[in-house]
Amino acid sequence: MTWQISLRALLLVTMIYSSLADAQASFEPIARVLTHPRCLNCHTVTNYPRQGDDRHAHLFLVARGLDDRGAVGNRCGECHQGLNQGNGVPGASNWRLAPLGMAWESQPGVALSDAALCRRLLDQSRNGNRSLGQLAQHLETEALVRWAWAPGKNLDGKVRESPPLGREQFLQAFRAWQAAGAPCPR
Amino acid sequence: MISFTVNGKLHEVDVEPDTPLLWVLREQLGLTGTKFGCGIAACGACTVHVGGSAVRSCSFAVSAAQGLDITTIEGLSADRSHPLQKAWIAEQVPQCGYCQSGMIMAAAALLASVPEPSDEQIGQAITNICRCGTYYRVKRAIRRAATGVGS
Amino acid sequence: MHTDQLTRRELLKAGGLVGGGFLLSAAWPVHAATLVGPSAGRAASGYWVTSWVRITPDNVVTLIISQAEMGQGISTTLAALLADELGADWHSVKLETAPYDKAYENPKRNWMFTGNSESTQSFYDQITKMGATARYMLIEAAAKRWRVAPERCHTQNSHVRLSGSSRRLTFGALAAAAARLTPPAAAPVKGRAALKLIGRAVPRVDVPEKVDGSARFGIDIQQPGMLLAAVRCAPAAGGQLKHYDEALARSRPGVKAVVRLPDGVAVVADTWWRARAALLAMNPQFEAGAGGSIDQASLMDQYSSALEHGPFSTVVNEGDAQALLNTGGAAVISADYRNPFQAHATMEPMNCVARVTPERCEIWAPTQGQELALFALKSALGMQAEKISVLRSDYLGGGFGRRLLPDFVVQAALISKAVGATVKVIWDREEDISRDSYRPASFVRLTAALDGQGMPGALAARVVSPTILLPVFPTVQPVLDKTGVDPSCMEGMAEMPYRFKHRRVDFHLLKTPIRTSVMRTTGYGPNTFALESFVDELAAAARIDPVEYRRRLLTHDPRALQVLERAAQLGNWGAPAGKGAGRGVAFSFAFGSYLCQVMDVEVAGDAVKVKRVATVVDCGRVLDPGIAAAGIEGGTVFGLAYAKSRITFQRGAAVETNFHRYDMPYLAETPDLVTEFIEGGGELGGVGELSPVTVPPVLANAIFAASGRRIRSMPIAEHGLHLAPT
Repeated sequence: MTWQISLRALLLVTMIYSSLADAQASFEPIARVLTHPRCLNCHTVTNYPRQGDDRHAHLFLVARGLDDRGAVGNRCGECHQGLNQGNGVPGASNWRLAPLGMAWESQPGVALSDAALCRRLLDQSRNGNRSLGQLAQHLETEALVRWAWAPGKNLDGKVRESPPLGREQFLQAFRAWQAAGAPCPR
Repeated sequence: MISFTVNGKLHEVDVEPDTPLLWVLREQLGLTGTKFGCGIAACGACTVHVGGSAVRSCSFAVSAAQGLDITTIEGLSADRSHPLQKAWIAEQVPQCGYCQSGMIMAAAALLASVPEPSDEQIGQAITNICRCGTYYRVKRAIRRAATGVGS
Repeated sequence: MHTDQLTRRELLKAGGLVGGGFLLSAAWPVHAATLVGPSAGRAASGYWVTSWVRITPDNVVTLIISQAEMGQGISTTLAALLADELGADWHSVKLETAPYDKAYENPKRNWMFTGNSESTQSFYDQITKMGATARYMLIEAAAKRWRVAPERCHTQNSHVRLSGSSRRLTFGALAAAAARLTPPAAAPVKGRAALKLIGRAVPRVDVPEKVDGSARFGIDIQQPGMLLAAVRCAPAAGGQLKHYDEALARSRPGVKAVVRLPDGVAVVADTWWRARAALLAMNPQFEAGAGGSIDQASLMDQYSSALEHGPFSTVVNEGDAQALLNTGGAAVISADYRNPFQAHATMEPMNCVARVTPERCEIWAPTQGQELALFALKSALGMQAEKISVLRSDYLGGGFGRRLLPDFVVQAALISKAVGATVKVIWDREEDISRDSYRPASFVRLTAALDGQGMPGALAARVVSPTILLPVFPTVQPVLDKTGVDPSCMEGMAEMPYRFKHRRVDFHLLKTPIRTSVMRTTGYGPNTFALESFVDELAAAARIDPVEYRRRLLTHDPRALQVLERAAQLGNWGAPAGKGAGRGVAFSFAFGSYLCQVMDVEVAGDAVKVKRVATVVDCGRVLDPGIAAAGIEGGTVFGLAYAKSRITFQRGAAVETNFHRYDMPYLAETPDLVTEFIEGGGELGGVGELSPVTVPPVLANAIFAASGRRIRSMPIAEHGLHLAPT
């Protein structure tokens, strides 16, 4: 019957539409965290790290270097240790830049769109060959990720701003998105 | 108590764990060759080697030094015989001299990784601040030590 | 190389000389060395000591150096001059740092200080005479012993030798006998040709200690029972301490005392780190006071208004510049230039060790100004000069004029007095920059009328600046009050290398609560930025090559022309520059020396690469080519710092209080440097603060050549430009 087919088609379209909207909605908070300066400053596409909420180029001629850990003779570890220091220099275990493959900018200073970010996150050739489950694990255990929620005081003595979701909320949102099949917005 | 080796000698210190290594070296251990210039890892005057790698000791809590090997400018050689020290003297690099301990330690770390650095590598590696502006001779001295000329 | 200062002080005491200067013979020039006999208190007899030289029986010659070694190499050159004239063995000579004493005062100023690039000029004759006199007397003693004519003797390597014979005697063996002789009225000096050290590049005596961490700066001084203090004083000019949590500080590990200061507070502890940690925990709060309404905008308004409306004191009025310039017309060109505030920011922050008891005040400090410190202490402690000793550390980690001031010395003395113990005060970098006395901003307006050949027949200058001289030479106050002119602010403007038929220079002494003082390049730097940029603009207006333009302005001065020509050659002036590349020139006569720089830059977008700087200097005579070259090279980088950064103010306080904001040049940004000296045969000129003088204008001129952009203020960041790795 035509009206039955139309109804079914309508239902199908509605389901697709709402799941698209859901996909948008479920990834959106994750994107807001990942593109926050505390994350994006090291997931930069430039050959230098960024600093601060204004995301300026890292001072003191600091560069990415060949292994994302600084130029020879000017390594990240020369100044950054395993913990935030009282003088405002931040620290966490294994302080370094994210490899270029994990850069979340479309161009210097411009974050990827939510759709592009989502795809990049899931791209195993770029995310350190991680499955979705391993990705979740990484976000939960990696010290540098944890740092975003305990970033310490900056050189002016002000506590650095953390991403818009609390750490637990973020991890929950990620798991929920994972459970929903990790849909990417279009 | 925190214990670590400095210039081959074992030390035990009883200080607040967040005391910067710089100040432990200078005050508890009396090694004043490493200098204080800014306290925020911006100038490099405090550069030492920890486990062979250059570290700005003003931003390195002493608690993190537990069990590690530290080398300061005093330990680079017994008698100014490190190729960089000889080159520094041959090229007459220092002026006021205050930044030079850190500068030499940074250069030593560079040469340990890259025995013959290019000018670009020297520029990227040596970001120590020298207010007297000895950079021109620092470069010459590093090249001299690297190629072993006159050492 | 440095011997124990306590031992020397014992010796001086034994000779009855501490604080009271030395016995002077009427035949001797004032402040020249004098001789004393053997010390009654010494078991080993027969040594010879003057204020500048000590010769002991073991033939060790110790030279006592009056001038502060802060990287300029003066400890090597003055010692070499003395050793050379005397005939001492340079390789075994020992050096000591002089305490405060009249014997060490700069003979031209009757004041003990190191600064203004004038140590060699001021001391050259005196040291030459001292060395010659001592040589004469040692020879006389030897000649008597050998029963020969003194003319047959000469000195060499700390020996007196009988020419044409193997007979020789050590200085040590002759010392006692020489000490008993009458000094000659005028001993013959060797003359340039006979000097073996002066004129050559002598390996610096301080370099070896500076490569192995053994060099002792003020911050490294240890005294028995010493406590450590960290301080925080009002960051805003005229500010006051409002509140601090003393109980919190006292509860922290190692804290011994909390001391209230006139405008701040100190925490004293068993280590400096503990003192500072407690200080920060204590969180001292300040109210801004009179200076609190000052911010960058209000400062610049004050300067602009002064530049426009004065009032002015007229310093130069030759011919009738005003009339010519008032005729107006296209041939009149005017431009305003601005120099920003700068901080000294020596790599070694301010520090001082003080031991004050009711009877004595003892100071160990990295000071350039021992005598001013002594005066300030007399006043602050209400103590007589004889009870105060100001000893200088062997080395200063940079001076640049900051350490001429006695503030950090007086502060340490007050803290020591309050706690009744020896105290070392160290300023952290934030305190060091906050409590600087800055090189002040200066605004300069230059106006010229060009004649038919495009040359300036008339020049008028207006300079607006606070004082720079008063804090380091308080005796200049009456001059300021009477004339309204700070003489140092007029350097390079009241007298300039160019001649103008009609010339007028006006000065406005700006009043501001912000602390200002002299800094490396003194008045020459800011004035030369304006003048050399302006000359370039005139050349452009006249469509004449900038070197040619200066050539025409310097026809009266052959030495100047020689320097200009050689710099143009060395700098490849006239050779084609690539795309985005440009070459600038700047010339100056400063501190008694001529210099000219030619700079190559590449400008790409907002990135400026400084590729090469060729510098030619005529300082009359080069006493040590190695040290002189290093001074010019290093000074060029120091000049780049003037072009890279500045100090700004908010609520009366400096904003850029550490190196993440007060941006210094890096090695990667350093150009290739080529330096040459011409010995023009004139008086000895200074080198120590010479090359930074021409760097800001030569950079502005090079940027113009490369990009067509004329910038009239420093730093280049104000114009959206930045230095890039070369």
